[in-house]
Amino acid sequence: MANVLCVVELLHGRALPVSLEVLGQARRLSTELGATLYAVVALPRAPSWSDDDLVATLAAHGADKVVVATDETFEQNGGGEELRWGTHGAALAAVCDLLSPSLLLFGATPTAREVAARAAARIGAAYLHEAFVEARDGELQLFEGAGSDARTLEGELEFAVVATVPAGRYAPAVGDDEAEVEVVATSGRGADFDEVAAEAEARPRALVLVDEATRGAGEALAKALGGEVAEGKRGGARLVVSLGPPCPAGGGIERRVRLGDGDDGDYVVAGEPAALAEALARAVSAAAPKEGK
Amino acid sequence: MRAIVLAKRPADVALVSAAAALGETTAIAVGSEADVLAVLAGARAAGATRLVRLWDPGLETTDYLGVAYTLAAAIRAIGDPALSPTAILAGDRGRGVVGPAVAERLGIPLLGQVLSLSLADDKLVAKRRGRELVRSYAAALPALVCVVVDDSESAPAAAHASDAGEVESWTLSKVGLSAAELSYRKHFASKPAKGPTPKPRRFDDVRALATQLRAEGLVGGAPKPGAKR
Repeated sequence: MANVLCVVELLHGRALPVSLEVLGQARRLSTELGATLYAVVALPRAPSWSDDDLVATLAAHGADKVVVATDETFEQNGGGEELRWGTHGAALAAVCDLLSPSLLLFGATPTAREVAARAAARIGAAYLHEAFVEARDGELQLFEGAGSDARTLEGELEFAVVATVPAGRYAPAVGDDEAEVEVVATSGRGADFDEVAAEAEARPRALVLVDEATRGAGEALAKALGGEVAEGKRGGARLVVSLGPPCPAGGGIERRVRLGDGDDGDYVVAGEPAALAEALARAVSAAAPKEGK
Repeated sequence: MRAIVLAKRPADVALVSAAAALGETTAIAVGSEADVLAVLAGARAAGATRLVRLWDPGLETTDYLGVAYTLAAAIRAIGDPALSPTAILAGDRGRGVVGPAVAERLGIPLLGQVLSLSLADDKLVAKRRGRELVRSYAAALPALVCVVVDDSESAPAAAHASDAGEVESWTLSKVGLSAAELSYRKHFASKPAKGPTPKPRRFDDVRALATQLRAEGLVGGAPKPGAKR
């Protein structure tokens, strides 16, 4: 295996946690398989010496090299932070043409879906959705799905694979290494969708699922999260926190949190649900004023 | 303006309804009669005026890209999108890979996570769910949009296959392809196997959880650019 590429998504100038988790797992794979690991990040322009926190972060989290794909048009598209094929496709295609990845990894985020899928088609790769990407005895092992419902790519992979990896599946890598920086400048979008308007989401920001015993604590948590309380199984928000009822899946839910006993969340904190909900409400509320300073 | 819907499951009647509001709609489904005739019947009921079922033994072993090549060829056989303004709709669900692959094959604009569609000034206007906002985008046609479909919600009543009416049955040769051309993609297709079992990430306390959710932009005000951790 030659090159492993991780596409890093940004939120307000910082790498999304899932991107660092994927980078961490890619570090472990690359070490086992003897591959070179590239973190690929899209920015309107190359980072300056005084502006290299992001590069240092990606190096510390495992990247051998950081590829900065620059395009001035990212400036008119939220700094290039929200992935979309129309804005990022040309840059990503240029990086793939340059580095011919054996493995191209994305965090499994809603905005990465179209980009990962079209990138796979563009380079003629196999595609795995919400994958396990692992190495055993010097061999790459890739799975889509889980347990007895899983599927795998068999044999020695003599072709590229594009995979998305969900949040929380792998731990980030930690180190103090440095990375080389390579800038790939692209410009000129083809025919594309142009943004013409934006509006607030109609759905609640979060949904707190409660039962009779946890309703009071759930209401306080919902208020802190800017969301709503619901009894029973229900989706319809980016974040769902359950204090008792089963965590739903699908329906545009990005993250499922279980407070209390159970394994049906992406994230779990064990303990007494009502007490945990009150503590989480305090943690969220306490942090909010500091961010405005 | 015309629309083409890549239909796969019963819930895709929602795509057909959205497409029929834009223009004359053709629904294409890849699969055997037993698998997709009821889906096409639902498409007919939702407003599709032309139904195409595409199947060939050569498609049984191919992967997403082989299917996408075939669908792109079928779309061209219906009428070159470059010559006639065409909106192509696919479902954004599950793997969500075929729609983007068809867009790549046709070389046309792509937008995913689409919630609703309309036409304005001969352009396709799509509302897309972003991280924190719903953004509206406009594009000249042809273009392909992947519309969010939730199979678990409000599943339509199953249509009877016999209600489909006239369905055109196409094979690979009808769209100018052969099984041999797609056969190399079988090596790229995944095979059943026992895989790992996903486990939730366990946090020691809620403060660590709050920090994680904040970094993901899921709670609170997001950090400002350049803010130190």
